[in-house]
Amino acid sequence: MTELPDRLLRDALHDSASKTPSSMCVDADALAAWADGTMAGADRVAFEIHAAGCARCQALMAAMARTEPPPIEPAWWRRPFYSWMMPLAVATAAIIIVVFLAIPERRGPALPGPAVTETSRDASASVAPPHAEKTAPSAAAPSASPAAPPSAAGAGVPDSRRDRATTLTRNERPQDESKDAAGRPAAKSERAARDAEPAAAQPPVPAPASPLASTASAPPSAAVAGAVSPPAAARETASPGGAGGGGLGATAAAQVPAAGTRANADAARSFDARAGAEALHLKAVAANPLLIVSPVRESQWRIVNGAVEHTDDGGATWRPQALGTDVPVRAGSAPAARVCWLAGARGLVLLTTDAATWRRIGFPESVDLVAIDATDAVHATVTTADGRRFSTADGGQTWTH
Amino acid sequence: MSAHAADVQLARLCAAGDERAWETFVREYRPLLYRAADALDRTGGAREVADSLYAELYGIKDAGGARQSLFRYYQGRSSLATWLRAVLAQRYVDRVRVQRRTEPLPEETDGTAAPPADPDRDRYVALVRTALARAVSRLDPRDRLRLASYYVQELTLAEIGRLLRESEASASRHLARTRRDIRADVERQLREESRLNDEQIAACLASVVEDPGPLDMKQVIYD
Repeated sequence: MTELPDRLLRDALHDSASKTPSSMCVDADALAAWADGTMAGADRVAFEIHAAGCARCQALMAAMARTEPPPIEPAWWRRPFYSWMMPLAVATAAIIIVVFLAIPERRGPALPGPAVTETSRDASASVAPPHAEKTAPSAAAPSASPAAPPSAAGAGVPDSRRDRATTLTRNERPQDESKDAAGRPAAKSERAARDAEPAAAQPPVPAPASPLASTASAPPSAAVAGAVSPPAAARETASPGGAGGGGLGATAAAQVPAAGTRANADAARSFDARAGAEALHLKAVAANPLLIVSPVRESQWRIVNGAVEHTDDGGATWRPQALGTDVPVRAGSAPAARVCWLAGARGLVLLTTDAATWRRIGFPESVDLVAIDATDAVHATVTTADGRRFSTADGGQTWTH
Repeated sequence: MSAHAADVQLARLCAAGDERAWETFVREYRPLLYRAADALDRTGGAREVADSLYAELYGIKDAGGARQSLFRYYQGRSSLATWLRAVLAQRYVDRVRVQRRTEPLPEETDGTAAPPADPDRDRYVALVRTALARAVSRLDPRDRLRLASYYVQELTLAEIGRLLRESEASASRHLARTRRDIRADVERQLREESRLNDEQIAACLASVVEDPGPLDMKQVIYD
C-alpha cells in the first residue's frame, strides 16, 4: 500500500491550522501552567482542542517542548523521596526475608531463592546505582528516549525520520548541565511541580490591576503584535464565554441544553461554562457512558468514548456494535426497541432498524452533531454544534433546516 | 500553590526592587533563560528576545519614574522557571510570526517552469490534496495536534509524549493509527466521491509520491 508522502501530509496539516490567533489562544501564564501540568483538566482539554486548529498555539507548545531543560538529577540521597524511602526499604526487605525464610515450604522450591536475591538487590539499590530506582516518568523520559528500542518507539513511523529526529534532539540539547549549578533549583522545582500535578489544579489567580488590562477586550491582533501582557490575556482565557466575541464558550451554554439527552444536560450543569463546547462534549462522553433507552426496557444502547454498545437484557450484558465508521458518536435516540438513531462528529448520522446493523445516513453538512431526537425510523431531528436544528421526515433522505 | 511559594516570594521581592533577590534571580535563572533562547534558535536570534525580557524583568521606568517589573505578572500558577520559558516562547513565536508576515514572499518556483506533465497527473495530485485536506479536518483534535507536532513542528516522539502526557510508545502508536485513518479516508473519498477505480486510485497515489522538494520549515513552523 502506497504511503502518503510526509511532505503532503505536512502541507495538509499546516494548511488546516488557523493562522490568526484568537481569544482562545493561551497567554504565558496559562502556557506555563499547561507545561507544568498544573492546568485544570477541563482547561487542558479545551486548550489542546484549540491548539489542534491554531498554528500559533502549536508553535508555542513546540517551543515549550524544545526549551524544556534536561532533567538534572541531584545526588540520589538528597532527594526527599529516597531519604524517607530508605528506612522503609530496609524494613520491607527485612519483612520479606523473614516471610520467605520462615515459610519456604508453602511456596515452590524455586521461589525463595530469587525472591530473596531480588529483595536484597532492592535494598542495595538504595546504596548503589542511583538509576536503579524509578524516578518520575516525565523526568526520566528524556534520558531514556535515546536508548529506547526503535521497534517499540516507532512502529509505523518512518525510521529514517525518527532517527534523524532523535539525533537532532540529542544534538540540540545543551549538555552543560553538570557544571551549571544555577539551573539546578529551577529544574528541581519543575520536577516538584510535575510530581504535584494531580493535586495542583488551582483556581485561576486574579490578576493584579494593570494599565494593560484594557487589552483584554482588544481584538486578537493584539496578540500578534507580541504585546500581550500576561494578566490581560489571562483574563481573556479565563472568561471566553463572557467576552461577547462568542468564542467556543459562548456557544457552550446555548447548545448543550438543546442536546436534550439527560446525561449531557447533567454534565453541562456540573461543568464550568468557561471551557469550550468541544471540551464539554469530550468530557461528557468520556466521563460516563451516555445511555440511550428505548421504550422497551430490555433494549438499550450506550455510547462509550464515541463507540456504541447494545444490550438486550436490560443492561446485564453489553455488546459492542459495528458502526462501520471511526467517527465518534455523540448522541442517540431510540424511539422503538429495534430502532435507534445516532449522531456524531462531522455530520455523522446512523440508523438501525434491527438493533444490529447500522446504515450511514447522508447529512448535508460536515458539522459536528450534538443531539438527536427521533420519533420513529423516519422522523428525526438533529442539533448541530452551532445550535441549528435539522429535521427529516423520510428516514434521512432529505433534511430541512 | 505552596509548591511554588519560594518562587512567588522571589518574584515579589524582585518586583519590589530588592537587590539581593535580584542577584539570586540572576544567578539561578539567567543561564536557564539563555539556554532556552539557544534551544529556540541556535543562531542566537532568540537571545535578543531573552535580553529584552531580562530588562523588563528588572523593571522599566514608567512615565511617573516608578519601576515596573514584569515579575508582577507571575502568580505561581507554575514554577518560575517554566513561566520564564513560557514568556520567552510567546514573545519569540510572536516575533517570528510578525517578521514572517512582513517579509516578502519567496518567488513561486514550481508549477510555472515545470514541463507540461500528464494532465491526468495534475488532476490526480489535486484530487489527493483535496481529499487529504478533508481527511485532516475530520481528525479528532488530539490526533491532529499530535500529527501536527510531529510533521509540522518536527518534535520527537519523546517530546510529543511529554506534551500530551502519554508514553513515547503510545504517541508512536497513535501517530501510526492516525496515518492509517487518513490514508483510508483519502482512498475512500477517491473511490466514492471522485468515482475512481482501483487503477486510477493507484495512479493518484503514485503521482503524489514524487516529493517536490523541501519547504521552508521556518515558515511552516511559525506561520
